[in-house]
Amino acid sequence: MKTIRLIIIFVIVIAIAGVVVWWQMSPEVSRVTMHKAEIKDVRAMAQLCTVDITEDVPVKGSVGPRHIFARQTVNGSISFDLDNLTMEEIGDSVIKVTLPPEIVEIYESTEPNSYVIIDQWTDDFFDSPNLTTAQENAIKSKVRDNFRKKIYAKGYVKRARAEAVENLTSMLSAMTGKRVTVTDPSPAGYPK
Amino acid sequence: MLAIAFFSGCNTGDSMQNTFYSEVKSVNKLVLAQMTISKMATIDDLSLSEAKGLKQSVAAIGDAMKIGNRKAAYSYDTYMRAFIDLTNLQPTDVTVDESSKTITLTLPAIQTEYVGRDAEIREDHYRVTGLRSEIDAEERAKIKEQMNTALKTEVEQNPVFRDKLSLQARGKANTYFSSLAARDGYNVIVKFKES
Repeated sequence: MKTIRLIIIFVIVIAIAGVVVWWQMSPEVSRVTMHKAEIKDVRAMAQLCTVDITEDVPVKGSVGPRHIFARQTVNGSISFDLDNLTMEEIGDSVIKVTLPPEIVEIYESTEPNSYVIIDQWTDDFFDSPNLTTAQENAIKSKVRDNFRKKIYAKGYVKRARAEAVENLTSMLSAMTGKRVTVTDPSPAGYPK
Repeated sequence: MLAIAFFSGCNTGDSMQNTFYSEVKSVNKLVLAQMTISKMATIDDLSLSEAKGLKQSVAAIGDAMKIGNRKAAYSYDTYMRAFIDLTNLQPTDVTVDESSKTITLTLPAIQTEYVGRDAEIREDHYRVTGLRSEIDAEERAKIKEQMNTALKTEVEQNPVFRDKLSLQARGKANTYFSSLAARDGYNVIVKFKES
C-alpha cells in the first residue's frame, strides 16, 4: 500500500515537473504578426546636408477630456538641392553660384525607444482615456510643426546655410578647377 | 557643437525616460539616394490550429472564449539614405591627365544610414468589437517599436536593401560629378574609395 502511494506521488511530481518544463520551453504568446518590409521607392538625388539634429521632445496634447504625454526622439536634417543649383559662368575662370532654399526634414528616430508613452488620462471619470490613431497622429504632426519652427528660431538654418556656402565653395572649386563664389540671398533661410 | 539638455518632470517611468537629449552636428554629406521602406504588422487573436506550445495553446483557448473580435493592421515608412562624406575628400582625389585628356575623381566610400521614420502610424484596418479592449496609444507605440526592430534585422540580414540604395547612389554620383567636372572635351572617370 505504502509503495503504491509512493508511486502515485512520484507520478504526480513527474507530471507537474513535465508541465512546468513544457510551459517554460514553449514559445511566448504574441498576437502581433510582422509582415516583410517592402521597398516603396528608391530615388537618386544630389543634396548637400550640412546640419543633422537629434533631439528628444515632449509630446503633449489633448482631445476633449483625453490627454497624452509621451517622449519622442526626433531626427532633423537641413539640406540643399544641388540638382537645381543656379550656376553662372563669368568668363573662363569664375563661377557664380546662388544658394537655393533649404530642405528641412524631420522624422522620428529609428533608435530603440524613440517613442515612449509616459501617461495617458481623461478628466471624465466614465470616459476612456484612449486616443484614436488619427487623434494621436494629429498631435504628433503639431509637435513636428513646432520642432520645425524651433529649428529656425534657434538659428540652426542660419548656421546650415553659412556652412553650405563654405562647403559648396570648396567642393565646386575642387571639381571644376575654377574660382567659385557662392552667394546666399537669404542667410536666415525660408521659414514656411 | 554638442549641447546636452536634460530633464523633464514626469511622474512615471524610469530615469532614462525622463532624460531629454539634444545634439546638433555640423556635417558635410552629399546625399545621393534615398529609399522608402514600408513595414506592416497585424494584430489578431491566436487560433488553436496555429498555436505552438503550451503557452500559446492556453492563450488561444482564452481568446476563443472572449466575446468579440480584435483585429487591426498598422504600417509606416522608414527612410534610408546613401551619402558620401565630403570631409574625406582630399585635393589629391582629383587628378588631371593632360596627355589623355582625362580627369579622375576618387570619391569617398558610399555610406548608408537611417534618416528616420514617419512619426505618424497608418491604421490600415481596425475592428474591435464586443467586449474586447481597444488598442491604445501605448500598445501602438509598442507595436511600432517591434516593427522597427524587425525592420532593422531584415535590413541587416538582407543585403538587397543597402545594395539597391548604393547602386542608385553610385549612378547618381557618376552623372553628377561627370557633368560637374567635364570641361573642354575631357573624359571624366569617377571611382570610389573602399569603405
